[in-house]
Amino acid sequence: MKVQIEKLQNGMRKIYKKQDFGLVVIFFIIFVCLSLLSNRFATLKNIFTILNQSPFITIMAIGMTLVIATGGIDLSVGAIMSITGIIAGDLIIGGVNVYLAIAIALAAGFIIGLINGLIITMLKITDFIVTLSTMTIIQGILRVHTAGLSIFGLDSPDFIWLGQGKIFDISIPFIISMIVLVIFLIVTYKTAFGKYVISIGSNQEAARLVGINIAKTKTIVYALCGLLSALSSILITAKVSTAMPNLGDDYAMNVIAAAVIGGASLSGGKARIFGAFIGSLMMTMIRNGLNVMLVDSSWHQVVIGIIILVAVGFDVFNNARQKMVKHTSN
Amino acid sequence: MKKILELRGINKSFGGVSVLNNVDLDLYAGEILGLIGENGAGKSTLMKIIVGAIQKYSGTVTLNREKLQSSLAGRYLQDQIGLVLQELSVFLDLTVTQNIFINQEIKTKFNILKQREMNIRAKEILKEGLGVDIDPNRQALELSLGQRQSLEIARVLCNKKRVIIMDEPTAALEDNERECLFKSIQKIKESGTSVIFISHHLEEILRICDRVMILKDGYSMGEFRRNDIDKMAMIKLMIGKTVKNFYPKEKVAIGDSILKVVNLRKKSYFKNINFDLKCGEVLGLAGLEGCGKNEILRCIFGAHKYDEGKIVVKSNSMKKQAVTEAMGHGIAFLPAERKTEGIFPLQDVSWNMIIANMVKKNHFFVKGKKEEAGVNEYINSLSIKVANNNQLISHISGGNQQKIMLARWLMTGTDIFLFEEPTRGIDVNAKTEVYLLIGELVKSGKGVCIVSSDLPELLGICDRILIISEGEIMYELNPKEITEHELTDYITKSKELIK
Repeated sequence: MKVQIEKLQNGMRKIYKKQDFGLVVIFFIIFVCLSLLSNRFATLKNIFTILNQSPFITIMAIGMTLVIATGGIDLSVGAIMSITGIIAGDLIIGGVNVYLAIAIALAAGFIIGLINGLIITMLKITDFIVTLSTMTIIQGILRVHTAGLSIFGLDSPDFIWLGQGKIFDISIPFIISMIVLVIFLIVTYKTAFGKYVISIGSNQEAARLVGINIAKTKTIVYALCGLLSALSSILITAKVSTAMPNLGDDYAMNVIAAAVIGGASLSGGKARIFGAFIGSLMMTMIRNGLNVMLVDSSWHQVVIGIIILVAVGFDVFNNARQKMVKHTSN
Repeated sequence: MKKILELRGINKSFGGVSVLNNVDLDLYAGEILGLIGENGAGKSTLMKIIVGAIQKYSGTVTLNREKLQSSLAGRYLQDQIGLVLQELSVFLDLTVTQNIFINQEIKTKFNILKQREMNIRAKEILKEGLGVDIDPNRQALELSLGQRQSLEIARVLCNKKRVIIMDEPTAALEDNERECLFKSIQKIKESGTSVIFISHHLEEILRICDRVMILKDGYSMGEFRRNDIDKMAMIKLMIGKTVKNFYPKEKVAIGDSILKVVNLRKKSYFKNINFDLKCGEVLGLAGLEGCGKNEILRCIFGAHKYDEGKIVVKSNSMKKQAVTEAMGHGIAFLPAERKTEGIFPLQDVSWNMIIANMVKKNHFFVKGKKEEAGVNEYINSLSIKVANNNQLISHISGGNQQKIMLARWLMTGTDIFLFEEPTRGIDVNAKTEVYLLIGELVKSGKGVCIVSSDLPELLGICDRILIISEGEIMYELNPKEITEHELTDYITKSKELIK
């Protein structure tokens, strides 16, 4: 029994590394604060609501964490989200088999990410500029194609189940986000690919000199980020059974924020997948808490901005402190 | 002579670990004081106390007969004492003048820069203070490493300082640039400013310093006049034991050729490069900075592309000019700039060690336990000093980092080792250890090729030295038959020969 517990503890430690501990603490502090502020917050029903609202951002924040780990950034995730939702919507309304439509939409997300990656690595243009451009281009295409109109009535039961279905009160999107989390924990920490991603962000020149294929690795990372954005898009489109051309407009910043709260360093070399999950949960929880307290939604942005500063500030402080301790023990 | 700086009974500890114990230091006006000690002996902590970067310590610092309260000292010391750091902090995009006057610009009342005045001043400082002639309008990017080093010193000189501290200023410099620097330091000395000169090169210390102070494990081993001490005595005090042989080299039977370079050419870098490397051989490439020696090594490893020629490893010729191909043929490359090209600074020891093997074996999943075991094996067999496998690599000393780089490639089963400046920035003791390891490599039948600007090192450990000048091999020398002086002659002469 004792051995088993130890094994479990070791396993847990591997998943959320020591650095994530501070984050979990902040998470619970905020949780307790919100519970004290409103008696409608810490109800079982509301907790399930938070869990069921979180997966869309979690899935994308995981992809973003990988991109940031290479030292890059992807501003086009929101636009990829919008266009893949519209693609799925168009196809389903046009009578295409639901699963085929989903596969095509996912492939589209993957391919847009791939294009981002190829332009960045082959033409050596800065990631910021490339993804900003693809974002703008996609938004333009969407405006031309949809004239700003949403696609309603995506009421195929198979499709809707993906967004609205539940198993024991836990929504399908949340379950899918957990599957994605587990897969990417393995990809990041247990495969050579994950090590390459982080190595590139840590020191690109050193990575090149040990034979890591930088162009290939980076391109795959952007493609995965696009794929995950498409997945998130399909789940949310199914949830509201409407494909919206402006669906992802606010998402890029929120996703980057979730990854950064989770401990991603914008200079690269760190990948905290579990942190991204907690970061996403935190963002969702704060929004929900403010909603429950009937705070005007315009104030949400202000609060979230402050939370990002506090979380990142805490992280910087914590790292500095650890560094001090290590240096002196040398 | 007037005493300018006096430290008495300096004690400093970090979190219970004492770094400096009762250290005294005297510095007289217009003298050059050498400061030596192994990595971790407390040199940098002592310097940080002198410049006021560390303010909590016990003991007294007296500058120019004024006793300084440690809490107030910081600002005052910074005005009086200039620090030239080991890592160059030159802004490559800025001009010479802008670099020198950064954050200390000469301005009018309305904060407008007096460009012309600064240009004139910059030229003056460089010419009169350091004896170098650099156009103040040039961009720092166009300057050689030595010239950039001069900028760094000029920045400190442009406000009159009483003391200038130089932390390993020669680490990245070639021989001729080093000479220039020594001349500059003499000039500074003549102007009445004192210099504290930190270096791992004991020959340099003996050449330019008036006195030398030795630190070991946080204790001062005393201050000595140059004439009262020699290299052996310094080493004994530094590492606590006598080293009979800095360049340990055993006789190894030299076997067949394992690497053959045929007619290699890269436009505007090198041409007609032909040589082969044999099993059990240490081959040295020597030449001035920019002669193409580093580029040749990088092309063999596939890190840079060449235009023409052939590289043959054990009768298989390489075609793709890619790092992975070279690795597949059993070639390893250890770059000179460990910090920027070698280590993964945010990762730990074992990550840094296993990464190349992972790329070479192309496993999909990380082989956790097996790889950890390999890491432990190498930590033991190369006696790498680390707290544990999960220690961040940026927290360990240069010598141990270099050993980890070596282990990284040993793991992959490499036959050919290409070293760029294998002992840059590491202390005497660690240097000898690296040479011993290179000896082990060739003993086990591997071939080693070294590019180095450290001439005694080349003479000490190589079996053959190729002199390269302007991208061509000019001479092949047997190190047993020549002295260091002759080697320098060959290197400089070959350049004139081409002209």
